[in-house]
Amino acid sequence: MKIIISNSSGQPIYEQITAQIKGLIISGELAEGDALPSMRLLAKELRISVITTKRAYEELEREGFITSMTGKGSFVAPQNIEMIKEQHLRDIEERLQNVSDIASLSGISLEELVEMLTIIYVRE
Amino acid sequence: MDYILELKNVSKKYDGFALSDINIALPKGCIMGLIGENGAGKSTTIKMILDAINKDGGSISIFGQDNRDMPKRMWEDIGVVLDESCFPENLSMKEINTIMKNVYKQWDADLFRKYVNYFDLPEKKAMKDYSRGMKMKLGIAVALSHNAKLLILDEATSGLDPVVRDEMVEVFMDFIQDEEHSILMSSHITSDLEKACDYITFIHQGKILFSQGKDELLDKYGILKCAEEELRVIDEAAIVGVRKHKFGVDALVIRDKVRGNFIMDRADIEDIMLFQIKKDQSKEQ
Amino acid sequence: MRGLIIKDLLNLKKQGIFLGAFVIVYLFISIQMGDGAFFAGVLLIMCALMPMTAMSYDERVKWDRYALSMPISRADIVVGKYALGILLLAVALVASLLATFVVGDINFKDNMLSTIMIGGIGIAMMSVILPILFKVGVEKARYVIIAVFTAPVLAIFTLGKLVDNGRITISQLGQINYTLLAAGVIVALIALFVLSLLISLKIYSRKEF
Repeated sequence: MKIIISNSSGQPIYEQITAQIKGLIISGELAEGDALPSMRLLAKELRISVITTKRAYEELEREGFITSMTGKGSFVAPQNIEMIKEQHLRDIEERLQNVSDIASLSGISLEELVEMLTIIYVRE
Repeated sequence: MDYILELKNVSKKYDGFALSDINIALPKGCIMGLIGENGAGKSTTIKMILDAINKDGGSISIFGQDNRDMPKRMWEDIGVVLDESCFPENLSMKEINTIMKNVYKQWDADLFRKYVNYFDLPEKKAMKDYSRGMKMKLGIAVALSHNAKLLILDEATSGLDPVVRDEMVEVFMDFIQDEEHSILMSSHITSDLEKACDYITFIHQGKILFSQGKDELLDKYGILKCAEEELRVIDEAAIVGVRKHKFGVDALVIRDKVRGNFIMDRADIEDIMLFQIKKDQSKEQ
Repeated sequence: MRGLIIKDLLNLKKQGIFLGAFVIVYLFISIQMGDGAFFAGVLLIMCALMPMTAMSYDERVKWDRYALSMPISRADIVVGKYALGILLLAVALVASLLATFVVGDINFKDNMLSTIMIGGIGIAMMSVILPILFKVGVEKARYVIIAVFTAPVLAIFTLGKLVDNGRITISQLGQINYTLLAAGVIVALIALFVLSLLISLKIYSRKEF
């Protein structure tokens, strides 16, 4: 399981952890019922504070991605992957609407938009 | 009791130096770093925790009990490493093992042997033939070999080379894997504390300037770089300290309070400490 | 406390070997002189010095501050030094008693008597020196210690001179009720020792490291 933290990205570390773990869950790399590394182990290996890993796990639990049981550890909660995807699709639709509106204000063509999106997507 | 160590309003006065309003709370399962310049009061604070010197005011409790009323056996759970090796010169590691066996009921000779081998310490040499690094390692080995729950380290890693210090950080973080364990370590090597600590307490001239979660601190502050004129645009409340140089200024700022697009670098613990001290100095002027 | 005594003994081990050599030399000198008391006196002084040496080793490495973080009370540290002193004194007394036989004085009663007297001096010296050491440490106490060590020597010397000059006559000495004197001295010594211990405990309980 890969988790890479950047100290210089400006994004709080706990957010980076939650984002990456969410990504692993959504992509299926972490399946339902899989055990997550303990907060302490994660803290030690990444050389970050246990307060941070605790916060990340609490956040993930609050959003329903994982469940934690004292004494046993944290596990991937049953996910409704479809529902999450739908949520993301709706999100994207909303933003694309914004993009489209701005584009038409300056007369930017669909081809130009597609080109821009291609470049950005490939870069990521 | 959630806090393994608590200092409330502790104060101490010497000629020409005073410690006051010292409030520290170390939760179980955490490492707290104590930083500050030489003479700021770190060692004095630790000596008061160990009841080696008297305090003038306030209370100190360890494992929920006043540190002066603790029964002797509670000290079995406290491991201490001080900045000078306190083992008498003539003794060898083997003899120290014998002594500790008779001092600590919880002494684990096998564990001690394991650490001593891991640190590569010679068995028969006398302390006076040990290098500073070896003495420190031995001190740490002893502190870890009687099933202590709380480790108190006073500049235990100063004078050790970076490789050894990194090994020690690993050892300490391993110690913390048990949630019932905690560490209080004082150091002026902020990079060590940055790697290992969950909380950082900064003592400056006898007062605590801050005592917060390390990541919270690192997220809160940033180093803003700009021209001197540009600095004036920024909300004064956001600026903690400024370093002017010939080609611009570096300022320690509170990230949230800065509006606008500026070059913002990450501030490390040392930066935060130095800029705070500068701010203090300029206030005095 | 046991650990502390073991530490002191291990610390003094090296010195012990050194002293062992001295002991043998003095033993020979005593045999030559035919005077067991001399040997006993030397042995006694050396053993009375040991707790002081042990304390100086501790001071050099700031052991006390470290020891306070162990499951050891301040009282343990103080009592440990007194116990060390008694232990070494006992060893010295037994050794010197044996030595007097070697040297040639077969009179058991006399030997016992002089040995006990010297033991008494040892306890007195310890009782005076230890609180001073606890108060100001070995380095600062050096000159006071020297004075304390020379006092009994001077006293005995002066006593000897007084007897020689006839100021104190043998018959006067003969009139003293020795049993009463002995009892009084023993009581005084015990009282002195206990007082010394209490004073040391008080001094140490408030000491800052």
